[in-house]
Amino acid sequence: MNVDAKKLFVATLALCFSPMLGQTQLQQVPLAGPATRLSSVVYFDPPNEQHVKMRLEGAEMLPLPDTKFDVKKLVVRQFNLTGKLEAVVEAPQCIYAPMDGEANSSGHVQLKLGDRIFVEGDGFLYRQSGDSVDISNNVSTIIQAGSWNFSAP
Amino acid sequence: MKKTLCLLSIVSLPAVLGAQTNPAPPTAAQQEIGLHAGRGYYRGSTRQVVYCDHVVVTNAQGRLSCERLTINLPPSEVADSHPTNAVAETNLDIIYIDKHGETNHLVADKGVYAYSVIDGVTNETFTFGPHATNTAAKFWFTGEPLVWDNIKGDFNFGTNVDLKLKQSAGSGTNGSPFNLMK
Repeated sequence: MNVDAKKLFVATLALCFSPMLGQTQLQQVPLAGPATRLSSVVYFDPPNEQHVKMRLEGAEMLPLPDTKFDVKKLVVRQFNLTGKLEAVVEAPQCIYAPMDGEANSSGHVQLKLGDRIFVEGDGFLYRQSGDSVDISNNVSTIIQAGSWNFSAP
Repeated sequence: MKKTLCLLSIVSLPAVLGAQTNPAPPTAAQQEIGLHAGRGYYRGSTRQVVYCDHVVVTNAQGRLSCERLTINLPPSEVADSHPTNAVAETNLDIIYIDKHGETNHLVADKGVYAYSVIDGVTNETFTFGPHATNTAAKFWFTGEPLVWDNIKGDFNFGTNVDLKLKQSAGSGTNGSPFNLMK
């Protein structure tokens, strides 16, 4: 087992058993090779532990020091208890810290809220624990038809 | 105050404020709202999106700027994702074009947008105040608060109403506004 594979193995164990992340499970992490695909699922707390709260995916995941990963094409999908998609976070690249339940990047990020609000900006911090996204620069939003017919007097 | 609306009717102010009495049906362009800010954040736990630092909101009708804008989204179980409430704070400044093509300038300490559907009836209002004033070439008014009902298409001026109509240029006067209700 090479060094990278060892790191992935440690990360996998951390994701499976970390109390901070509750029901998080890393589903698809082949324990070999320098890069792999990220796929993680978080479930709601009991008594709703059968319902998926969040899916986190990345097209490519490279291990970094301190149990962090350089993730390409990050996509985070958040659901409510009925399974309805609440929010989607997309970033071409980020640093993912599974032990902290955080992802961040100085690069671009897109956030889709429901089917009407589309947010984007540069530089972000995503926190699993609070279902939160902070965007630090150049925030732009489009609110789609009929969602907020601003009509000043 | 209701009496303010009656007084406004008597003096035919709706003709002056025609833009407020019958809002134009939104065009495709009007139905898309753009928003820019220095930074912002989303909290899934509270269903809030907050924008800070030079917030600018634009649509086909005008431009709103402030320092902080909070948009509250409905609970995720609700089918309609229409924002239920939005609050614009600090240096609220709105420039908009009314139906007569007149440029209006509205400023206030705070603006609150509220939207709800109760028993199939939609309520949608914009409340501006304190210290809300609206200035246009032909008139100026204030009230505490100024409330625009976006469904009814009318304006409630609240209390402490002050309204000035300006005579048009070239009428032989100095064009000074006169106080209608003080």
